[in-house]
Amino acid sequence: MWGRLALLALCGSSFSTAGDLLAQPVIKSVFPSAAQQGSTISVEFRGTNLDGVISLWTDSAGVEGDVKSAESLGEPATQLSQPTESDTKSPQPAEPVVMQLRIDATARLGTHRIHLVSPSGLSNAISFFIADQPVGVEAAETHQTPTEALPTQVPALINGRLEKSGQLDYYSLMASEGDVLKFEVIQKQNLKPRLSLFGPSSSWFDAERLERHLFLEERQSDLVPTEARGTFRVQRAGRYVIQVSSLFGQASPDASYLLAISRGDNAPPRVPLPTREWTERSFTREIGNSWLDSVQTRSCKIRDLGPVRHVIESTSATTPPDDGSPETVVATQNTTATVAEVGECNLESGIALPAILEGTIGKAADIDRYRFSVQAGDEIAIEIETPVALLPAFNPWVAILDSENREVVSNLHRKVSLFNNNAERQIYIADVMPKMVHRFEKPGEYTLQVQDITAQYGDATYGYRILVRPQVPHVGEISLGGVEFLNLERGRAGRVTLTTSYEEGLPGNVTFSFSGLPEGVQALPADTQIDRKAPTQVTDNPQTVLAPTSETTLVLAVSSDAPLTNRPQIVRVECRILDQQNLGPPLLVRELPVMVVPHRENKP
Amino acid sequence: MMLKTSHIVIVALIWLVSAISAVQAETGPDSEKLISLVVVPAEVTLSGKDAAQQFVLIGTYADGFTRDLTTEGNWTVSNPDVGDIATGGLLTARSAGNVTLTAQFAGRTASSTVQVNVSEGEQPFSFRRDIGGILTKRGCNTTDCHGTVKGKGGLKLSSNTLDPKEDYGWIVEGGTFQVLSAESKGPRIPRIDKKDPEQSLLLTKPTDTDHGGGKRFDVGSSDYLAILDWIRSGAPYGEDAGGVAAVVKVDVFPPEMVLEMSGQHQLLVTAHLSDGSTQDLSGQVMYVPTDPQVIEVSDTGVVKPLKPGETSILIRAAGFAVSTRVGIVQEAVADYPEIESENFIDRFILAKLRKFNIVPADLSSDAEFLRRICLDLAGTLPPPERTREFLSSTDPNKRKQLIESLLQSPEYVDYWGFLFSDLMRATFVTSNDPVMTKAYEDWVVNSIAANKPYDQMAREKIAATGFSAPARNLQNVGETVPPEQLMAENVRIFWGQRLDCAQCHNHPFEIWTQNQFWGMTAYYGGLEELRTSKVFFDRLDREWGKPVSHPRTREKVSPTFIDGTPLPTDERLSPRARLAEQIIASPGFAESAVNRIWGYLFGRGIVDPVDDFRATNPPTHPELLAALANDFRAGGYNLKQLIRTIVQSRTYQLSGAPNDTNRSDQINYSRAFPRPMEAAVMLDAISSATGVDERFKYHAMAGGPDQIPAPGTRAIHMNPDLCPSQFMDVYGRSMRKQAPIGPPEPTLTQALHMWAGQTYTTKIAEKGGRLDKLLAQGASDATIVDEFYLAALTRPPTNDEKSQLLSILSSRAENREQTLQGFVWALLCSGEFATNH
Repeated sequence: MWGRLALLALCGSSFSTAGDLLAQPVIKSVFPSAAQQGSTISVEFRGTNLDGVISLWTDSAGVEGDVKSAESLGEPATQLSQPTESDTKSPQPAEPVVMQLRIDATARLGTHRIHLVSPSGLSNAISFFIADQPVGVEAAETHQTPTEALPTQVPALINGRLEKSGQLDYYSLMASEGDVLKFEVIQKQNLKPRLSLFGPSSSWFDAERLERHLFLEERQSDLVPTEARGTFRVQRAGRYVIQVSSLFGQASPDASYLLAISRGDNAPPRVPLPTREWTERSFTREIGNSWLDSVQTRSCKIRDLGPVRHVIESTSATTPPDDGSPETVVATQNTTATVAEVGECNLESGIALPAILEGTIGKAADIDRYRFSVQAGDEIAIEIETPVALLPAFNPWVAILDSENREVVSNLHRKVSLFNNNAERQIYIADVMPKMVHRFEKPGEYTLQVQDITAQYGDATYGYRILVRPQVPHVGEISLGGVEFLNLERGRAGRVTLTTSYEEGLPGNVTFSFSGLPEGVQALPADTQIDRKAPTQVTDNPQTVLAPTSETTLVLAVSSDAPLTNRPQIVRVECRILDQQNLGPPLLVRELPVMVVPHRENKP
Repeated sequence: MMLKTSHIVIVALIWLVSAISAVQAETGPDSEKLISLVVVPAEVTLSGKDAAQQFVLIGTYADGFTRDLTTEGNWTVSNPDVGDIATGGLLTARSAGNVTLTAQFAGRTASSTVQVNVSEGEQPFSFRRDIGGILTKRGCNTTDCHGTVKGKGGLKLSSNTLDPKEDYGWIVEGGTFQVLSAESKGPRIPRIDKKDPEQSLLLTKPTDTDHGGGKRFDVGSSDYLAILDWIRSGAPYGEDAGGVAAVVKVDVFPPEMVLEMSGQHQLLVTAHLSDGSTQDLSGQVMYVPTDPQVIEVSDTGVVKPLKPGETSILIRAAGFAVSTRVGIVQEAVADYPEIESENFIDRFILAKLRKFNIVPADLSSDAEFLRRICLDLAGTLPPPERTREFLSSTDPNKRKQLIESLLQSPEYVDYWGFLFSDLMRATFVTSNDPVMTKAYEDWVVNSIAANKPYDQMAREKIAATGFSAPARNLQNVGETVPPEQLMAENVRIFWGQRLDCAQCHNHPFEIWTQNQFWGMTAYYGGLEELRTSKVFFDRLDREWGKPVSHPRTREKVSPTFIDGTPLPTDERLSPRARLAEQIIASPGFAESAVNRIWGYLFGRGIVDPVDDFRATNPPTHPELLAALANDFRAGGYNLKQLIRTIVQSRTYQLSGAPNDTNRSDQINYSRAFPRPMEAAVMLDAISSATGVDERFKYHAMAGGPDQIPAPGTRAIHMNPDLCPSQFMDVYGRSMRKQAPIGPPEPTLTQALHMWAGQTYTTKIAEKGGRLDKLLAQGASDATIVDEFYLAALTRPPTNDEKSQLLSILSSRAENREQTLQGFVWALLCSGEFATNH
C-alpha cells in the first residue's frame, strides 16, 4: 500500500493539500476580534465549511474556546472582490459559529492566531488581539452620523463592523486643550479602513457637518500612509468625533476594525507576531550582538570571528544594544555644510570587522560613511536592519566604494528584463535588499556608504543597524511555500515543498526530517518539477543580493486505515547540513499542525 | 558715443510712468497742454555710411497722455553733412562726426545726440542679421510657412532664425529636415545658385506670385538686392569670420502704449549687440497684431487705431520675438465717477479703466455676491435659510464675515481640493491602482485643508520621490512617464509655460529652443523606480542609467536650467529637488500661481490662457500681476490669503450688469462675466436645489456598482475615473488626462439632457425631495416659488416673475404638482442657474 501511495504522491497536484479550500473549514472573520486578558467573551466566526466545528485551536497559550452554537445565516457574505471561478462554481453559505472564548490573565498581549477544528480538519488562522484594557464592542444602535456618535472614554479599544456599503461609524470624545490624541486601527478584517477626525466647528452651509482636522501625519508627510493611524494635538477643547470608514465604501458583515484611541504615549503596544522560523533576509530582523552567534549555529562549524565592535554615529537615534559589547566607537558627524547644504558623517579612522554600524539618516540627502580595510580574497557579508522607519518610507541604500569613490557593490537588487515591447535588454532596480555579500579581489581601504535612496527623506526615525562581518557559510531561510498547517485525508497524500537558501557559500546538502507524525502518516521524498519556461527577467547581480536556493519536496502519505485525529498534532520539521560525510546537528525548520481527516468522498 | 541700454530703459520708464498716471478723461484744455517733450533714443551711435536710425518724438500732456508727435514735429540736425533727417524722424548717416538732432513742437524743443563712425567701415556681414532678418521680416520662417516643424516645399527654416547655422545649411547646401535626426534625407537641392544668382530659388520663389506662400517681395526691392548681393559674394555665413557683434537682445519702445482714436505711434525696435552698441531694426522686422481689428501696423512700425480695444503686437526679428501692448481708448466719459478701492487690486484695475474711459459696473447686489462667493469658494449653492439670513442682515461687514466663514468651511476644502485635483491630475490612469489614486488625491485635498504653502506643494510635486503620494503621478498605466512629459507638465502647472511646444522643434512664438527643452528634461532623466515597492528616486551617476539625449543630435543632455545654468556636478539633492528650487525662486512661479487663482475667480487670467506665459502673450495688467505675485511671495505662498485678497476686492465684487462704457470690454475686469459651472459643481447644484442627493456608483476598478459612497458624498468628491456619470460626461467634466484647459463648452447633448435626462426629471419629482416635502407640508404656491428661487438662484423672485408664476400656477390648479415640477425644471434649465455670475 505504501508503494502505491508514494506513486500517487509523485503525481503531485491532483491530491488534496492544504490549499484545497473547498473541503476544509475556512474562517473569513471573527467578531469581536479582540478581548481583554482574563476575560470571557462570546465571539462569532463566519466563513465557509464551518459546519460541525468542534473546538478552537491555537499555538499560543492562554486562549481557549468552546462551541456554543452553529447556525445558518442563509445569505452568503458580501464579496469584497470579484468572485473567483471556484467561488462561482461552489457557492458556500456562510455558517456562523458562536464560541465562548476564555482569555487567561497571563495570555500574551498582542495578536494571536486562532484556528477552528472540525471533522474536515483545521481551518486557516485568523488574528485575534489580546489587550490589557477592556475592549468595547460597538453598540447595536446606529452611530452613523456625527450627531449619533457613540460617546467614548479615552483610552479606548473599540471593535466595530462596517456592514453596509458606504457606512460610516462615528465615536465621540471630549478633549482638553493640549491633549495629544492617538488613533489607530490596530487590526482589521476584510476592509481597508480610513480614519478622519472632526472638531467642534461646523460648516456654514450645514450645521451637521463638522470641520475635519488633519492628523499630524497628514500635515507633515507626503508619504502614502500604509496604516490607518494618526496623531492630533488638541488646540481647542471640546467634543471631537472620530470617523471610521472604508476605502470606496467597502463593507460586508465580515468587515471589522479594532480602533484604539489613546492619550499621549499610552497607545497599545505594538507587539509583533512571534516569528516561527528563521528569518534572515528582512530589514526587521534584530541585529544584536547575538545575531552573529545565531548565524554561526546554522553553519557547518563555528569559527572564532573575534569580538563584534559597535560603531555608533553621534546623531544616531537608535538605542545601542545593551549586550556588553567589547568595544564601542562613536563616529563624529562632519557638520560642515556642503554644496547641497546637507550633513555628512565620515568616520575617518577605519573600523575593524566584524562590526555593527548604527546611525541615522537624520535629514534629506544625509550620507554616512565608514571606512574599513580588507585583504585580497576577503569575503564579507553586510546585513542591514531598519529598526524604526521601514520600507517603503526608508529605503536604505548601502554601497561600498573604492578609494576612488567608485561603487564596488551595493544592496540594490538589479534585474534584467529580457523582453519588453522594444525587445531590448533593460536593467532596472527591483528593490533595496537587507543583505549583500561580496568578495574583494583587491586589498585596500574601502568606504561603506549609507543613505536613503531618495535623498529627500530622513529624520530621527530613519535609523539603521548594519552588521559587517566575514562570511559564514550557513543554511538560511527555509520556506514551506505558504503551508501553515496540513489536513491530510485518510488514504491520500499531502505535499510540502521546502525551499532552502544556501547562504554565503554553504557547501554540501541540506536534509530534512519530520518527527511527531500522526499514526499512519509517512514522509516520503519526491522529486521536484523544474519550470522550463524561459524567464522574462532575471537578477543581474544574484551573487550579491540573493542566496542560491534548492527545492525539496516531501510527500506525507496517509494509510487508508490511519486513525482520524480530532485535534492537530504538532509535527517538527527539522533540517541538517550534510557537508561531505559530516552530518550537522538538527535545526528546527517549523512546527506544523497536522490533522488526519476522512477521505472527502467518505465523509458522513 | 553709443546709446546705452539703460538710457532707453530710463526714457521708457519716464514714458510709462506718465502713461499710467491718472488722467483727465475729458478732452479739453489739458489735452492741449504740453508738459514735456523728449526724443527717443536720447543718444545713439551709427556705424557706417547710410546707417539709419528712426527717432520718435514723445509729448507728455496735462491730461496724463503721452502722444507720438514724430510726424508733427519739426526735425533739424546741427550738421547735415554728418546726417540727413527726414520729416518722419528717420536719420541717415552721411559722414563721420557728431550731430545734434533737434525736434520742435508747440514752442518746445527736445534733442538727441548722434555719433556717426564711418571709419569703421560698413558692418561686417552676418547671415543671421542680414539674411535671417529678411526671411523673418518677410514671414518666410513663420510656423505656417517654412518655419513649421518639417518646413514646407522641401525648405526648412528655423522659426525667427533661431538656428541660423542650420538655416544656412539648408539654403546653401540643400537637404530635407528630419525631426528625429540631424542628418539630411534625400537629395540635396541648394536654394541658391552661385553660378547664376538670379536663378536662385531663394530669389525666384518669393518673387513669384505662384509661390505657395505668395509673393513676398519684388524683384529689385532692397531685400531682393540684399540677397542677390550675398549670393554673388559667395554666400558667406559671416559671423563665423569673427569680428561681428552678435545681437544679444531686442527690445521695443514703447513697451505698452495707449492711443486715442485720432492718434498714431511709431514703434522703435532696437537690437542690442554684444559689443554694447545698438542697431535700429524698426524697418527690418515683422509686425503681427494679435487683434487686427483693433489696430494696423505699417512695415516701418507705425501703429494706427481702428477701433477701441486692446491688443498686442508680436514683433518678429531674426532670432528674437518681443511684443508690445496697445490700448485704444474710447471717447471720454463725462463725470467719470470717483470709485473707492478696497485693496491694491482695485487701484490697479481702476487706474487702467480710468485711462481707457471705461466706467466699472456697480457693486454686485448681496444676492449676486452670495451666489458667486459660495460657488467660487465652496463650489456649492447656499441653502435658502442661509440666503434669507444673509440678505436680511444689515451688518456692513457681512461680506467679509461670510468670506471668512467660507474660507474656514469644509466645503472650501472640498471645492479647492477638487480644482487642484483636476490641475494636478489625480487620475486612476496615473498609477493604475485605485488605492494609490486615492492616496494621491488625498495628498492634494489635505494640502488644501492644511493650507500648505504653495511652494511646498510645488516642491513635493516637482520632486516627487520615494513612496510619496505625489510620486504616484509619475506613472501612467503603471509605467513611468517619459521625462519630457513630466517636465513639461510641471513647468506648465507651476510656471504657466507651454515649454512642451519646444519638444520637437523650437517654440513657434517664443525664443525657447529644443536644446532648452531637453536641458530641462534632463532633470528628470535619472528618475528610477524600485519596481517591487513602487518607490521612486533619482540617479544620474550610473553608467547603466537612462540619460536623456537630444532627439536630433543623439547627444547626451545634462540638466540645464532654462536660463542656461547647468546643474552642479557635485549636487547631492535629487536633480528634481534642485529644479523645484530653481522654479520656485524664479519670478514666474508666483506670477503663474496668482494668475491661475485669478483665472479661477474671474474666468480669465491676467495672462490668458493661464498656462501660456511668454513674452509674446503679455499680461493685461502687468503691474497688478507683479503686485499680486509679490504679495503672495511675501505672505509665504499662502493660497487662502491670496484667495481672500482677491475676493475682498471691489473688482471681484462688481456686478455683472454692463453699462454703456464697459459693454464691449472683455479683459479689464470692468464687470463680472458669467462662467459656466464645472460639470461636478452643476450636478451638486441640481442635487442641492432639488434636495435630492445623487446616488453615485463606483467603477469596477474601485469595487463596482455594489459599493456606494458614504451619505453626503458630492460629485466633486468623486474621482472621475472611478465614478461613471453620464451627466458629468455630457457636461464636459475633466477626466484629468491633461492639465485643465478651461471651462466646458455648451453642447447640444446638454440641451437634450435637460429635456430628457434623469438628473433633471427624476430629482425634481423624487419623494423626499424639496418639492415633495413642501407639498407635504401644505406650502402655498408663493412659498414654493420663493423657496426654489432661493435654492436655485440664491435670490427671491422679482415681483414680476412671482406674479406671472402665481398666475400660471393658479390657472393650472387641477394639475398643480406637475405644473410646479415644470416650474422647477425651468429654473434648473435657465442660464442664470447654470452659470456662476
